[in-house]
Amino acid sequence: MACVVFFVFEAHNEGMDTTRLIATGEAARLLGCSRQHVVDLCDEGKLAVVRKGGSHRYVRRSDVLGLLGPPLTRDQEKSRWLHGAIAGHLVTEPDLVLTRARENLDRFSKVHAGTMAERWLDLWRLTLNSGLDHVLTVLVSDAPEATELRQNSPFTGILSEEERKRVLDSFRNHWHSEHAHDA
Amino acid sequence: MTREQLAHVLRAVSRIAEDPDVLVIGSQSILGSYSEDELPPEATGSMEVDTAFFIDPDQAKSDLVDAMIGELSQFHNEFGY
Repeated sequence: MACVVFFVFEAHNEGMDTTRLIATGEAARLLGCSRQHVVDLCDEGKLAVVRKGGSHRYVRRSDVLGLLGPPLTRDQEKSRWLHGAIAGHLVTEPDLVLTRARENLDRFSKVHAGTMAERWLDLWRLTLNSGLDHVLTVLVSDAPEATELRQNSPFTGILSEEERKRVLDSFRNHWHSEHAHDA
Repeated sequence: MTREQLAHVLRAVSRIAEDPDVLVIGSQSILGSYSEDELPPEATGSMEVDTAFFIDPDQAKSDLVDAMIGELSQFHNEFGY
């Protein structure tokens, strides 16, 4: 089975001067939102405007990254890699993946009735009904809610054991080579 | 996750790693002392439980457990956690 894997990763602190000023357009790109939303954050005082040049506003890159929250833990990033592989299947076999996920939601909701996990599964149901683009975003986003959703995933039975093993091996090498200094 | 489900996971983890001493990390650890009936829903956390071992210098045990019954595994698919 062919599989296309893609990730939307932001490099947060890799050699960047986080104190430098950036325009609201670049801030929007980092946050994964519209430029207008960044302007709203500035107007609401949630993001400090450091300097105005003509019609342009500038904000500190570090302030923008602060809105994204702390970097993902090893387990959280591993989960994102596994769900990145799921994203590959979703774009090639969307009906199959969504059907499997919905079936799993029904099964898992019975298993977790009355617990916090049931609430996350309900949120997955809403997400699956919000369109493929939104599902793709949640599968690979590092936003706190997406990270929490992936910890209660309905996307089982989609990756083969061999495929899952390859993702875990690949992630282990990635983490060792790129994040070992974080520990 | 319920106390019974946590016990199921811990038995599997211990058997796979061949280690009787398993450390439960995070919010699910409270289920070791109280059942879910005695706790608010928020305390039951997610369908996952994070575990570690007191002796696992190269993370070989953790990696083995992850490969066998970790996220999106057949175990996860069968039991829902």
